[in-house]
Amino acid sequence: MSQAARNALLGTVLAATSAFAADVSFQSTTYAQYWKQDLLGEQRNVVMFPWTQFLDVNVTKLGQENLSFSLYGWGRKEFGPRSSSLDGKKNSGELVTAYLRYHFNKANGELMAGRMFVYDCGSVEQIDGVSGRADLVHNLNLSLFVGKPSHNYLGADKRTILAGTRLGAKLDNMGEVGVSLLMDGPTPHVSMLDQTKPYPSRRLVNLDAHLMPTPLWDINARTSYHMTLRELAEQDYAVRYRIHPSVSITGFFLDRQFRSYFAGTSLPQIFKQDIYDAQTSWGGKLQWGKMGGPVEVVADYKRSRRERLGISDRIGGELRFAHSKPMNIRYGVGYHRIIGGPSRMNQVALNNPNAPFYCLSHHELRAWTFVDWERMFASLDGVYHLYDERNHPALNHTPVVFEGMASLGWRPKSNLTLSGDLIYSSNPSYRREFHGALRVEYRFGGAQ
Amino acid sequence: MKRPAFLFLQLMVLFGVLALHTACPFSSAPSFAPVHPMTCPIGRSDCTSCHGKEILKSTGKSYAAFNHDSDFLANHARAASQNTWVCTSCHAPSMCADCHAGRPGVKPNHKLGHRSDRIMPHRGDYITRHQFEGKLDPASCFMCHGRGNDAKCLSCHGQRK
Repeated sequence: MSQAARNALLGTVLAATSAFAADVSFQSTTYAQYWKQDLLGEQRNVVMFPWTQFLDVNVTKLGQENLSFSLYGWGRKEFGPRSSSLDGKKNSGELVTAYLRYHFNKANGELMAGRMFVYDCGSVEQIDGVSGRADLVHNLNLSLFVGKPSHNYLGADKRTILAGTRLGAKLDNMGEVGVSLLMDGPTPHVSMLDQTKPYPSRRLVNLDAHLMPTPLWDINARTSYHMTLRELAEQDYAVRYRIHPSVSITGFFLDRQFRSYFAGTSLPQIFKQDIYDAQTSWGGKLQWGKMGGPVEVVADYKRSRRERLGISDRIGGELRFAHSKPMNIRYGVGYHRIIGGPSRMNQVALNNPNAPFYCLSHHELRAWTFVDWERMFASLDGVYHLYDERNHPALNHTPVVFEGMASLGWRPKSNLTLSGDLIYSSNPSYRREFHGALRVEYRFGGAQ
Repeated sequence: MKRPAFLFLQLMVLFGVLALHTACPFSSAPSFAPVHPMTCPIGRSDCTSCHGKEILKSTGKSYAAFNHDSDFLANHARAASQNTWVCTSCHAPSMCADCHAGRPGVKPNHKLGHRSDRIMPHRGDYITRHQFEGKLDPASCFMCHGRGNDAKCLSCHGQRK
């Protein structure tokens, strides 16, 4: 279906649904940018003026009390060079979601049809299809979806069909466990992961659990098993223990086998991953601060090990402050040290035993504040990164990244917000980068 | 798996679902409110400030499980995958798309540039930094970007030869 025909159809549907609707709400966000980039190694500046319009429409009580329609999308007009190479077009747009939903008064039941996101079968997917869920007796619940993956990007390993189902069980006052099955159809062409042969479709069995056996413990677990490749694709476990109402400690473990984890993805990956690589991460987090309190302190540590690239550590912390009187003000500062073992530049170098190694270690520092006072709000944000190895080719001999951002906003009415941002940065890609933006947000009806 | 086997597997799943529904009819418990009756104050939502230690019946979990503290925000996918209807009672369905749409239109850290308190992860020159962070900790990238792509990415991250 052509873009024009699709837009006409959407307009017709929207007008028709509005005519029957008792409750229409929408939110419009207009985002205009001025973007000037002074590229390293080039004499000219690049100046861009993209203008993006977002529209979010929700129509409830559509003829029936429980029937609703939701639509969300955006369009962009460029008044200068192309600012995004997302699809190779200068002017672009996207229908992100458009679906009819019927929700039942009992059993948390719902039926949806159209373009939507599905979340509950071990993967986040955007499909054109149908889905439904309901609570059953005996504390069980069931969800299903089937559809066609929405996108067909450049190089996409697009599948013809994607289907999933999940059976969940609530445990009395303890949480929920579930088992789900995710399957996609035959691939129309060979995978971008390995051009020498068709890649197996996804046949994932997933187990998920979120348990709180006592108010002190919070346990999350997710395991995915690839039935065709017969190996665990993903393991993700986290345990949180509340030592005190305002102190908790969290430990986690994550393991992903790239070959199975990426098998049959309905949208392409942005990463040229080595499918025989794998990653294992573990670490912990200590949080201090009562929920909604004036101070929150977080200290965290994470160790990642990639089979092909070695070990890295990330350690640091964050301080957050919040006050509501005399005005709503929040501010914070964070620091992390990343210690990365020597690594080769890219996949090509990885396979060349003579390629040089580079160290990836660096410091990260960030400070920010946000103030909300009656009809005005303002924010400041600063990011500073310092890399250890100046000679890393990706750094262009510029081991420092800096970005500063200031924003000011005004709410002349409860449903109208005007705001503007100014961003200045200096980094290894651009000697200087200046970014200005104006944002107009308008809400009509009960838009959330 | 060949096509007939795949179709057979789909039929088996459908049959299993129908059998399950026959054995376990729908619950008669009322549904969770589609819209939260009160607007929550600006900032990180603290469900327990009103609900205390109660159990949110339709989830089997305490309200504390949905408090928007640092841990919850970093791992919100867990709640969204099991209890989406709790999220949508306060958040517009489109909120997820600000970051997770295959094509979000504007980078989330720009669209939400006026909300420094929301700690968007890609502040600064991320084009440079992603070369480092992608190597150091790819799992954190995959969570959001594992299924997104564009021509610019493919210029470096194209098909393997």
